[in-house]
Amino acid sequence: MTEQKLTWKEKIFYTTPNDDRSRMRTVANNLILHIHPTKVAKPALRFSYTWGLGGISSVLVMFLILTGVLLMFRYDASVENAYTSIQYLETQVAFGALIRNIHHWSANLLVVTSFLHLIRVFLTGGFKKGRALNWALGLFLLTLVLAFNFTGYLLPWDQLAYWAITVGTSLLSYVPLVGTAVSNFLLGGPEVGQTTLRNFYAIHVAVLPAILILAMSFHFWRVRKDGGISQPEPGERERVEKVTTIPHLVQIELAATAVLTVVILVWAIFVPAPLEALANPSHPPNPAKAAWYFMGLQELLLHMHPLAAMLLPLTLFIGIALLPKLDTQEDNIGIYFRSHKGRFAALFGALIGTILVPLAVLLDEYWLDLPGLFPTWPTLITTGLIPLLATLAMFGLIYGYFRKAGKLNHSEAIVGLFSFIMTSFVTLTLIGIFFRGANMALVLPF
Amino acid sequence: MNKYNVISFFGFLALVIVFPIYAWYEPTQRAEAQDNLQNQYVTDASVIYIENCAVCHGIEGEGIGATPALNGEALQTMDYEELFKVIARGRYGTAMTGWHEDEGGLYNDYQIQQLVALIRYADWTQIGELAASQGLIPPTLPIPSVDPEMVAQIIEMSAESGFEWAEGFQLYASNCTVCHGIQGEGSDLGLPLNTADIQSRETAELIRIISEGVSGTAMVPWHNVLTPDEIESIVGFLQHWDEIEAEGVVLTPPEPIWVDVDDPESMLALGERIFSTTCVACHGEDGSGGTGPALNSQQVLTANTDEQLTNTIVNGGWRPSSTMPSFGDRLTSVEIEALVSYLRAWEPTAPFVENPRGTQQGGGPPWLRTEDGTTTTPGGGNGGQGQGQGNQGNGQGQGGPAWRDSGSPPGQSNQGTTGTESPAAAEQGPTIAVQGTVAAIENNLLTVQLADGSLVQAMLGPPWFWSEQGIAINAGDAVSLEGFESADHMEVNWITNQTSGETKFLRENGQPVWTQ
Repeated sequence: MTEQKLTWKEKIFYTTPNDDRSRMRTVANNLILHIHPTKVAKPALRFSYTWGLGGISSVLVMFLILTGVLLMFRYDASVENAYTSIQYLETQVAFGALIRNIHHWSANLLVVTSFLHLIRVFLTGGFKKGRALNWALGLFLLTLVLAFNFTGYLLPWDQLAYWAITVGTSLLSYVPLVGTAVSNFLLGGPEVGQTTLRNFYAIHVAVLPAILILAMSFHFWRVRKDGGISQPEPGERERVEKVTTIPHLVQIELAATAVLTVVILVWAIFVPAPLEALANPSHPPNPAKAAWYFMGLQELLLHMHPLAAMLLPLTLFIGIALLPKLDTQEDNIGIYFRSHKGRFAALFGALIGTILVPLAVLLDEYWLDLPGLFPTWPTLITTGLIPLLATLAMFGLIYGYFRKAGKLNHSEAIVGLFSFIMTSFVTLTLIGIFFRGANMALVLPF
Repeated sequence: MNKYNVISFFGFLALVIVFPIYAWYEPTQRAEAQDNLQNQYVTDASVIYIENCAVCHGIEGEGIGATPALNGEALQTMDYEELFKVIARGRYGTAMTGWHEDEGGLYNDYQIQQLVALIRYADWTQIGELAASQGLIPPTLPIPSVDPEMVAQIIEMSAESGFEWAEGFQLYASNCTVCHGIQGEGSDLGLPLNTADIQSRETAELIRIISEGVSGTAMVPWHNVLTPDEIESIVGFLQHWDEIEAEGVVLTPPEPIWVDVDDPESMLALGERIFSTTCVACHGEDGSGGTGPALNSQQVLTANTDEQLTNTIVNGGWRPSSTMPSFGDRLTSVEIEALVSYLRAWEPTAPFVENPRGTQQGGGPPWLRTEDGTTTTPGGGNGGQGQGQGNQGNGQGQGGPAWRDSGSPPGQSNQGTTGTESPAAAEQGPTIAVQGTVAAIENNLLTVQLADGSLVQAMLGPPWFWSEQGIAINAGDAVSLEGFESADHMEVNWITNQTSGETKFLRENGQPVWTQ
């Protein structure tokens, strides 16, 4: 390569290569840009295909790492000082409140975006064609995000934190055999206290970030290895048009990042992260609710025996992890809802989910009294086994209905069922967040 | 430019605009957050204070008895660590115990930090308000009042040491009952003292215990507070307590009065209590009138809204001649609210009073009226009687701590002085005529020098009235005027400027012309 004479402008803004070859070389030679291939399929760039959810999630992770490290400088993970260190941060440290707000809201948004990312990948069949591992990895990353949120929730040591964690970890004790042991290990004792705070802090700032960075890198690397994001099968003699990563992909990422940054910043400026009164173990708030993303689970607990309320999500989680084995039809990859019929199935599934779940909640709250109907049976059966089996039977019914009455194929019926399950879960969560008042009684939020 | 670059451009533009604006306001915002946090600390701490500290340190941090006041500047500027340490660990040799959890107390670091903030930044009158809004009205230390009859009874018991016992009895009542109980029965804080064991102890030993205290307990060395003679008299009382009790002299426990502020009945009761201790002296029994207007009259109650009544209580009388002092800083808002509701409760049954204005404007309470309806001259003794009824009448006065009653309404003392005036003019009260030269005139306040050199201040109606309708009066003019005595000046019926020959009538038949 011959030395070129550069103008001063080029010396300063040298990084913009302006022909395809050098653009591709830049991507290949750049550590960060090399997570992308040098060229990407043009249809894969369609924003309404990915909604940028994976990218937005990873930008949020970057925000979280940046602000989290800054927060560590002033945070003190001791019961005596944790709360006051937050107060100090918010009142004495320049930009302290802003940094905390960004961290808080990014973390909450991350739960949403990574969940939506899961939904998006499912709907476009992104787990197919050798992507089983990355699908499982993505699921693992989602649980990691929840673990991050859960451990971070405790750190301000206010009433909200203390009681959400107390409620959250009390769910653990319902897990048979190991539940109590795991809970004691995490809490460093039977109750949330100084050891818990230290444990959660260490997990939040050291253990989880290490795992997260490794798992994220793995996740990105797998996307490359799987040949980029999922795309529809090209037809016979059809060629997928490819464009260079610079500028086509990078400019989209830049725009998404810019918008996300502005949204987070403005939101963080105007909506302060909550900080309630100092944690007081002797004054539980009423209702004592877990963090909002666990309210679906807490709601489920109101209706089922704890064991059933654990088993049901566990079954579903395993089912979702095994989706690549359950839905092996590969020709519909990259098509939203698999097909036009699948779109109908998803819509219908969502519809019955939003109708049936509130009805079931009302039914159980006001009319149905299973233990009263069978007073001699153990509650494990009346409130555990029966609702669990009924729910699973419901899933079977819906699947069967889609197959028989809807004349859908297996893959499309699964879309309908998945849509039903996810809508039900979201509905349960919303009921738990907004429709539960004192003593977890049903109330109207307005 | 494609759409993504446009979005990026505006995104970064927004960042470049939003961030500096935020950065500019950030210090202000932080200062605001500091203020809010400080308020929150003080508010949280005042709840703690009212629960546990006010009993000894006073509801407004004024200190009670031997317990130091907290509302002084010295404490506000005291070292933070020192304040924290005293609250957390207590002070050796005093009744101040350690309040930190580690010392067996109730509070953690954070709450003690809040208490320190309270001492440094509290607005103590607001804490009194807060206490009132929680129903602790008026705040009282559980110190029993000593009936003079009891004292007399004790003095009669023994010729040589009756006085000593009586003094000891009174000292015990005001200093020791908090810990040792009203009847010496003891409490968590102090031993029982009304026992055979104590009575059999050596005098010297008891004196030593009281004056030196018992270290490690809340028993303070009392030699700081009491004289040796006083301590001796307490010992004398303790040693003869059984005899005194046998005579039937027993202290009755005062109840700290908690009022349910949401219950109209108890608010009415509170209003009645305040009226009968604070207002009765001027406004008469059941608002029948006195120096001040008869409040229990159709005219007053229909003419004034609750808001107006509240205003008058808070700010004092609005008439220039009014002697009604402002009670805004003496009563809490809850008390004032209770008082207004008490007055309002009269309305349905209130009689029509011929002239509801106070004695000096006619009318007056029944005991000041003669049978033919004219008002007798209130003597000094009468005034005193009115006051006595207010403050001591059948023990109702116990609710008000001394500092609340300290400023007795000036109207009362004034009533005594009017006794020297000649009885005249039944409608107007005692009319006085004055002749002299104008020493000064300032707005509506006229100062007249009499022939004997004494100065008389006269109020020429409200300032707005006099400035609009008044006559020209200059310093040095000879004036003659007629009026009647008021709080610290006289009210004018008419005035003649003899220098210019002008005459102005300010009141006709007792009615001020500016109200017509």
